[in-house]
Amino acid sequence: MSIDIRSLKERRRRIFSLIRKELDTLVKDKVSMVILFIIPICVITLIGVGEFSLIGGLVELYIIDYDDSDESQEFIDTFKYNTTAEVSVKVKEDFNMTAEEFEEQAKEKLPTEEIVAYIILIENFSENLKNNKSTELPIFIDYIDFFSAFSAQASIIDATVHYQIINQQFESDLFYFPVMKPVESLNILQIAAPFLVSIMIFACINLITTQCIVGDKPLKRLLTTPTFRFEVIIGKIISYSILAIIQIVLILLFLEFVFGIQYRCLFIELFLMLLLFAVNSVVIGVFFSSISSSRLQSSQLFLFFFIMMLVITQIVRIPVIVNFLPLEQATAAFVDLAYRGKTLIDIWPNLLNLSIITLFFFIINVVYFQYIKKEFV
Amino acid sequence: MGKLEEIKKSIFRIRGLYIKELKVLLKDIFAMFIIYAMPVFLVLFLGGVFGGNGTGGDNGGGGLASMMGGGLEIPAIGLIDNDNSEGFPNIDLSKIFVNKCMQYEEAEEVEIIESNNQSKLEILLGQGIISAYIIIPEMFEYNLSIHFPTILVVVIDVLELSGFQASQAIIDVIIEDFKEENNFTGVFDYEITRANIPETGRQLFSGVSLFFPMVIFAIASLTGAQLIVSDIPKDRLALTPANKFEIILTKLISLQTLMTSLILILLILSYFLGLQIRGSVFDFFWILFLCALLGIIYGLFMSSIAREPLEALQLFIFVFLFQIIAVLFVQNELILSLLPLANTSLLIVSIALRGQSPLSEYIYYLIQFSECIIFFLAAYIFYKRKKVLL
Repeated sequence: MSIDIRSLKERRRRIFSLIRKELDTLVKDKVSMVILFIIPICVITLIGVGEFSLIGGLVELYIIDYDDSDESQEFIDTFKYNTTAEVSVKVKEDFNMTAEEFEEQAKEKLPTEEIVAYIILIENFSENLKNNKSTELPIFIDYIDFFSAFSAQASIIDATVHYQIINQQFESDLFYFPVMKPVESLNILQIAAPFLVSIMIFACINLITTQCIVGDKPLKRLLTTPTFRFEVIIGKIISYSILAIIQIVLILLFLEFVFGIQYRCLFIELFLMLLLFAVNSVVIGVFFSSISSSRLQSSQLFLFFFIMMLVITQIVRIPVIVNFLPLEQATAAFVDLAYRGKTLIDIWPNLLNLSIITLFFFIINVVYFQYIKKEFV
Repeated sequence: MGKLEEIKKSIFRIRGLYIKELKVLLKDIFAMFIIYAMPVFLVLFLGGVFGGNGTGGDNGGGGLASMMGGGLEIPAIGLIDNDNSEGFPNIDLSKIFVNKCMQYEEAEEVEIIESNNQSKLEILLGQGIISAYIIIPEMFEYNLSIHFPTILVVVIDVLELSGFQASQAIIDVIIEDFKEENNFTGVFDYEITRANIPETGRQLFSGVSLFFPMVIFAIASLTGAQLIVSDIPKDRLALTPANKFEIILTKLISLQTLMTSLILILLILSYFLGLQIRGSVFDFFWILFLCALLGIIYGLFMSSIAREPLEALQLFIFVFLFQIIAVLFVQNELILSLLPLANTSLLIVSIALRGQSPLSEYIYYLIQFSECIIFFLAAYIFYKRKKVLL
């Protein structure tokens, strides 16, 4: 009895067998499994229980008093004792110096970690305040560490406003104290979650998948059987996607039940979006694996893509490129679904973008594996 | 055979193994291409060759976006003018503020959505269509006319960091411009000097402390992670007089040679793209050299404990990802001081960018040297205990 190997039924049977074989191989590797699922747990826990490093911290500053008046001393005291921010103030008396010497020292110290900023209280500080109700306030802030500079600027403005309120000294001015919304997002894990989840799924799944063809030694033998090359690709994509499903569910449940992150959308919607992103990571990984001839090459391709994606999404943000990066799309879609309460229909541009990239790499994989990759012949 | 003769032979073997290891590494042309392409592309991206604000930006009032050197998107900001008060004759001050915002819109620095309905703007903010909104309050003009400060209501969406930064930056700039134009100095006329910002290569300057160690450590440890576990002919070496210490040492030296050339490329390219540092280039080189060394040793350690190449890769991703997340989000100094990425990042900021003396941060060098010795010995012990399959 002859079997039509091209029939749909046969193809389906072969693909199922391939998936089972792939999953068997993957699951057998216990260490890999533990690492794959331990990474998200460790990283989420680390951030969930840790402290946030970007904002805050003690602001060290010098106040150089050329005026030596009661008003200038009061100004210094406001910084020392009344500010709501954490500020450590040093004045010339602490070093037994004249104001000029102290300013020189401040200039020297500004690029170092010892101070973040210095303020100069000019000679006519009190006189200006009395006569003009206004005075210049030269402030020098070190911007090598951007986040310390940001904290320093906020602390200085906070303290000067405090001084004005205490002394009832007002002049035409425009302030604002930004109201951050949504209020509950000030939890660092909640803010980090969209980026964190996306980056973990991409890194773990993509790296594992980069080894799926180049590291598959029996693949050569398998291709001597009546198995089509594109079936191999489909089998691999599906089996790695199954692994991704477990990882996504684990991450989302861990975030929700252990750290209390609340999703404003249906769980299934968030899951489906991340699944599409994971499939995207898988097809890109399969592509890296297809074009590589050694394990090292494929993992380096992963690293190259991963780091460039980080640089572009986090710092450079070149508009032409950034919108085509899966990490950017997944992070934006996560925010829209989980925090803004949008539906899958509302985020169709992100989904379309991810689908197009996925389809593009899938076609390249099939074509490359079917017609170009000759190593197995 | 005397001790001296033994050492001579050992050096001879190490030299041979070193040449062999280098040849093996260089033979994989595609892998080498990626290794060298990675830092080149990194510097080109950060240097603004492909766009962004890599070399530009003003030194004065550019706000957050230009301080970061990053190419932030144009933010959409809602605006409500609730002010009907009178203060100055023949002018409508709130209208002037609105016009000021419109000027920036025309200059394509912001997109202003005017409204008179706060609920509508709240919805737009919640949907992510706008990243902030400003309300000009009632008594805006009157308060300013009687020499009294006015507090604007500014609500910012913090869910998207880039939008948050961009909107806060542009609001600061608009307010400063408005105050200056109308001579509203306040009690304190802040003359803020943003010091120590380089004239050129700002984006490189802001990215160098995070991304240089990231690339160096990643390449070194990823390549190192495959050196033992994927080296199939290494077991045949057991038949030769070469011992395992010599084998692992030559793997370290050969990869470090490659990494050194990579570091040099990174530094030379950065120099040409305008990176300005206060410290010495030699200090910067040694910081990256140590980072690469530590990366290779971490890689060798992972390679020596892994049974499969895939396992080594997974160990690598665990270590690498853990460090990236820790550097970005964790403040615990004890944890950070033990992580090569965080340590190197700190050394770059202190010694290369700030120009402090290397001695001022000796403790971090000490930790890195200790880690090098501990992990190298651990890698050697695990490798030595591995059974030779012949």
